Amino acid sequence: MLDVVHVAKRFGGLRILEDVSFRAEPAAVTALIGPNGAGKSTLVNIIGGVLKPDAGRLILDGRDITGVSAVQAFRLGIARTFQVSGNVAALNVFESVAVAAYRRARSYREANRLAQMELERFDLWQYRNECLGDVPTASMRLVDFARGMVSQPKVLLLDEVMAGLTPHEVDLVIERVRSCRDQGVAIVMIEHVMQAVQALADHVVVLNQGHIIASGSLAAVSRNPEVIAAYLGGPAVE
Amino acid sequence: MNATLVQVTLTGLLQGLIYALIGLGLYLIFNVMRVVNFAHGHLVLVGMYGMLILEPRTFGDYLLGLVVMALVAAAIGYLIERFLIEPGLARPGHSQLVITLGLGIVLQYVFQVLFPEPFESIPNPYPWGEAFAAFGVTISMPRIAAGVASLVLGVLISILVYWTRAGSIIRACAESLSGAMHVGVNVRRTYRLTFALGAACAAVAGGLLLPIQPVSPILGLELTIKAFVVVVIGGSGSLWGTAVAGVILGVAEALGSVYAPGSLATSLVYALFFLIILLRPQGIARRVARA
Amino acid sequence: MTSSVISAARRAVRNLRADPVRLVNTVVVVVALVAAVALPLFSDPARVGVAFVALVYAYRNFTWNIAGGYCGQLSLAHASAFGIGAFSVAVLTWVHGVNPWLSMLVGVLLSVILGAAVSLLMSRLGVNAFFFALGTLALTAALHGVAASWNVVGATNGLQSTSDDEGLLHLQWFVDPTPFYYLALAFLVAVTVGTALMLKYTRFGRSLVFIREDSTVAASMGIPVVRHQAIAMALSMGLTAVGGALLAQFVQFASYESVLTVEIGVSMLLGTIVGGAGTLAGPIVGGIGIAIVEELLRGMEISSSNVGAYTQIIYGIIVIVLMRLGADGIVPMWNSGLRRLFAGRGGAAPAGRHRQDAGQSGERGHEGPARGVAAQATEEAALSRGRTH
Repeated sequence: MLDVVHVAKRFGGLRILEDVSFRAEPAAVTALIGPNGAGKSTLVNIIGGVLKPDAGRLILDGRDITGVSAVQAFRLGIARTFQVSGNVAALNVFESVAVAAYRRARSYREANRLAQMELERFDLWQYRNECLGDVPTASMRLVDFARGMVSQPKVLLLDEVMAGLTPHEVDLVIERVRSCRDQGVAIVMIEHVMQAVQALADHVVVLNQGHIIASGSLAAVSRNPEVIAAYLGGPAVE
Repeated sequence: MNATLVQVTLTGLLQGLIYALIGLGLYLIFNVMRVVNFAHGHLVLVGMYGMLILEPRTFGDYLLGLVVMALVAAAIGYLIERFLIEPGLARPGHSQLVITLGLGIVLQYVFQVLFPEPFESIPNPYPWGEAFAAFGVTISMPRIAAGVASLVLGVLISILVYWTRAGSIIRACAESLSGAMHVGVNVRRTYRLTFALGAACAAVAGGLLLPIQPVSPILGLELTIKAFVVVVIGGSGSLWGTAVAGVILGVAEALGSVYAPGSLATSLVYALFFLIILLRPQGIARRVARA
Repeated sequence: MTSSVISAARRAVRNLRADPVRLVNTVVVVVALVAAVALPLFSDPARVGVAFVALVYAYRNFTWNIAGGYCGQLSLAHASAFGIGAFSVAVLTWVHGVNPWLSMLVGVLLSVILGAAVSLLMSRLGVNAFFFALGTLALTAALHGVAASWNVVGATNGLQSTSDDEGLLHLQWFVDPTPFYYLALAFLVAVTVGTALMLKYTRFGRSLVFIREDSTVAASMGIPVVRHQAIAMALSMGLTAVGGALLAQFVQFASYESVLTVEIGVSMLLGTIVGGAGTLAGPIVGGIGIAIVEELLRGMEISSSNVGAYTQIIYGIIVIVLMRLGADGIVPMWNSGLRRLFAGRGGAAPAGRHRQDAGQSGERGHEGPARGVAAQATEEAALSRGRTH
């Protein structure tokens, strides 16, 4: 269970995030939605330890983990997905998952075994010799899942994993997210694709210009006038 | 003893102004393009060897030579930027680092092959006597002239950068490339202009340096490092930062040579540079890290 | 026990048969090894001496590659390690009579410490490749200058070996360079096999390429980036020192100008890139290539002082061209050429790129400060979407 408590982040004079608080329950999907520029990515980077908050706390299962580094965050059980770009596309699928497996594995054989299990579970075993950039987009996102899940994390941060997928592929990935959730992971999902938010979100947090303007079920927040105003006639739900 | 100290300090100050000019060229390239030009010191060599070839006998010849070297170096800089560096900018990775490193090595050894006799220089081309002596200090004329000329050129470039339209375009690119692109700035042309200007600064400084300091291919790397010292100490503030930094470097080097033999003084400068890189995380470094 | 070895061998042969590229490469390596072992039998001592130097070039390129090619740390400090190795032997053995193997060990340890220190100190700045290159350049230049003024290492005159001891224990053979040659070959093979095993089987080795391509992603996968970078530098520099020690013993001379120059450092970097950074064979090919070019130039009756210069010019130009074309170096080009050849013939080669344990991606570093127009446009677009990575 992840608690984000009164987190704030400023860059120079800009207030990227201000007084952000929410809870991500285990075995549940918490969706972070909001218009562009709302600070969602910064928030994910803070949770993942890539950035440090200027104020506020991060509590993981009751333990204060504010300000830990990315490496420590991973060791404590926070895994995340990344957009594949540039250099990273040259990396090997199997190795990507296997190296992450060392959180649970003690040896070469064990890491490889866990990686194989995870790749098979996600139907990615056929791609084990490929580079990340050579794999179909939807499968590439799933490799990220596999890499995250192989470490048996407590929290999985999904950063716009549905972007650029066809509706059919979105359905596939939705299934995968469900299965990860059902394994007990607390999933925090930044998403713009409403099809996914509708299907998956157990709890929705709406961010606008660095503030949380609403949180609750998707139905509830969609009725919130402030949310509607923020999206300027955004996607209608129901 | 006191007079010697003053003499050494003045010598260092004047030398430092030349370093400032060299550093200025690198500063422009670095701030506008974020390219670390490992061949910058070798562009200075282009100016030095070029002047050596031209063999000016009169003051007029010498001035003409400086202008010629500036133009030649600008052309070389343009070509380097256009054909070697620009294509690699859009690609991830560090091709610029390797390319300029390779370029520096090629230049160094080309000079070595073409000029097997090391440490050549030219005689004093200035018509105002051999040296200037007053209050117990004696400083050679070429050194004074070179220092003053470097200062003047630095001022001219400041005017160019801060008071002309071309300069404001350069500054815009240095501050925010996306902003500059938004306003419709031709970024490629600016890059080429900047690199040409930086190369010209280096070559002119080399031409000014030749009467004072004999040229040798190994100077290339040394001057590259010194140019970077100037840029890093100077910080990412105004151009005057490089002037101050150059003077600091020159004086430090001169004073160091009093207390330590030749190569050790330079080593101290390099070691100091290493420490400065480590202990000065703000300024240049942060800009680079953010980029 | 034997049955598992046999089944492993069977598996290996099956893998080879399935992958023609690997098969060809294995054959090439075997042939090259046999030729290397047989070389002294068919060459005069002078040629064996040249071959020894070629192996030293190959060896030091290889050790540089561990930190530079695989981990992405473009270091110009390795020349210092090379020099420290040479001077350790020069000072401790030639001047003070310590056994050269022990002196070599001292050189290795000093280089390990220097490598770790440089890496850890630099990490404070954030992993920035340009400043790393610049800082290591300044460091080597500083040590070069110090050596020129330090009498202990012979200042400008250098140190000479006057010892008479010969044999493996004393790491010295006077008339016949063949033992030197085989020793260098043994070191090269050992370091190659060791590195290959490390890259494949250890967590450290497997993590290097992730650190190289994107250190943030690496950290988010639980890789201790700073620690591994320091280990890579320490290991790489320590092994490089061995090369310096070997060369010093062979030449029986060491000076600031012969073993501790920035040019040596740049040569390691450029030579590896030409051969193919981030591969096992690349630096070796690059290093032997340097020796071949030098021999060819000598054959063309270019004065000996210029041979080195022309070689550097040629390598510099090759590197510039390679970088300009976005190519990866001789070995990666060879491999992709082979793949195209076999894929075209309908061979059993996999369609995609091969497993990265050989690091076929070539020389790449993390996103550097140099902005491209395209990169800027991406950043701009990213900024407008509220991403502040």
